Amino acid sequence: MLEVNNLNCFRSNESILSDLSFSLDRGEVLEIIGTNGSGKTTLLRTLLGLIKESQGEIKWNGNLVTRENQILTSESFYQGHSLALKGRLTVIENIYLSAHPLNFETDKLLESLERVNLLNKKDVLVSELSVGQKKRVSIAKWLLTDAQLYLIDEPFSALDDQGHKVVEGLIKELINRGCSFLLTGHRKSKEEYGAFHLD
Amino acid sequence: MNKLSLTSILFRLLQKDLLIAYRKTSSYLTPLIFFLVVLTFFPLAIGSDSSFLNRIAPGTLWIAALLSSLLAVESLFNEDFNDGTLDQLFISNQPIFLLIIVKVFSHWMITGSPILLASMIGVIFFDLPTSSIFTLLVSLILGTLILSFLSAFGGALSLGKGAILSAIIVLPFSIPVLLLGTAATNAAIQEIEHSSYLFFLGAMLFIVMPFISIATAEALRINSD
Repeated sequence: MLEVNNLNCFRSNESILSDLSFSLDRGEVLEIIGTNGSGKTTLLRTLLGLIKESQGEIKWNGNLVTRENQILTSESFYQGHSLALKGRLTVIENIYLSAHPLNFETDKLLESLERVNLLNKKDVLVSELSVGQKKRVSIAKWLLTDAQLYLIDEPFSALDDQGHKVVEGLIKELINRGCSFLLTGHRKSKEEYGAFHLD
Repeated sequence: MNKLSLTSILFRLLQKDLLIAYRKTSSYLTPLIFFLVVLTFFPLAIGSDSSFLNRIAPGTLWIAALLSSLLAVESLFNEDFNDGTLDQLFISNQPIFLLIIVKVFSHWMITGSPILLASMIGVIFFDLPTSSIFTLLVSLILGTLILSFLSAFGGALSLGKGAILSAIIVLPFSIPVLLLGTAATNAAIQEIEHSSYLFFLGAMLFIVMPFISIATAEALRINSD
């Protein structure tokens, strides 16, 4: 499904990722573990073509990914370290007017908010939510997209135990539907996901 | 799951930017108040000689409009850059220059359209003939739209840096707009032929809109890397 061969990435002539190769099949989860600054976020952004200074081969379903054909971005969902939420919009407005185009019925939106325990906060401004609750707003979008690949930067950070369980449950549900996950983190999660260390 | 049409995506982007601006009053009040302060202080400082005020009115109105539009340059892309929205726009698989045109248009609705209304107060302050109002309004609509596109380009080039840098980038490019807008209003006050200036401004807008949007998209891509 996703195949990365000899990926190199540079920042101001400094090598961030060097000869990185891995593959990810349908229904698989791969965790990229590394310390701060080891290039986890850079890797996700490079795969999506957001970083220009990179070399190597990225293939999606056997086809070469280029900046022009956008075959990876059209079938993936990216949740970065910055969650792309607007403090002056309510939870529901943030999802409805998401920069990542989502198309869904209102029932589905309410259901996804219920899954992340935010239904009672649907009309609250995002600026009034805690960091963990903001993260849950972003996680609620996972069920509202038809993406095949989820690129999630530190999905467990800022979440309490209940939040961890919600995320793990959603990942299980989505991989059962055939979706794949590329996650980043500082340490390996308790789940039996595939993992590799960047540093 | 059905895909959203491009029109729906563009409409939602416009709706989002307008809703955020509506809840952040400073985004439209700051340029408006600045514009009004400049217009008010000029007659107070210079005196009430009607013919002299008439002569300086177009220049004053246009300089006030130009400086007011520069005040909001920083807010155009910096917030989207800092909160990750810009990344999401780039990977949304939509024509990025169209998204930028919508963002600039919403920016103009937030900062430019209040200036249009406030310019009517300028007409009273400077005792301008009512026959010049239409030309003043049309020239300001075209001119402030061009200034919004130029501001977007300046904002993209100075992404993550200060507003001063964007102002330095935008100001030289805005001189032709200032000259044409002032000339159109002056000609209308003197009741001489002025439509050619408006056609020039219109032509500039249609040239600037696609080219600046594409250049802005590329500048954003490079600077958000």
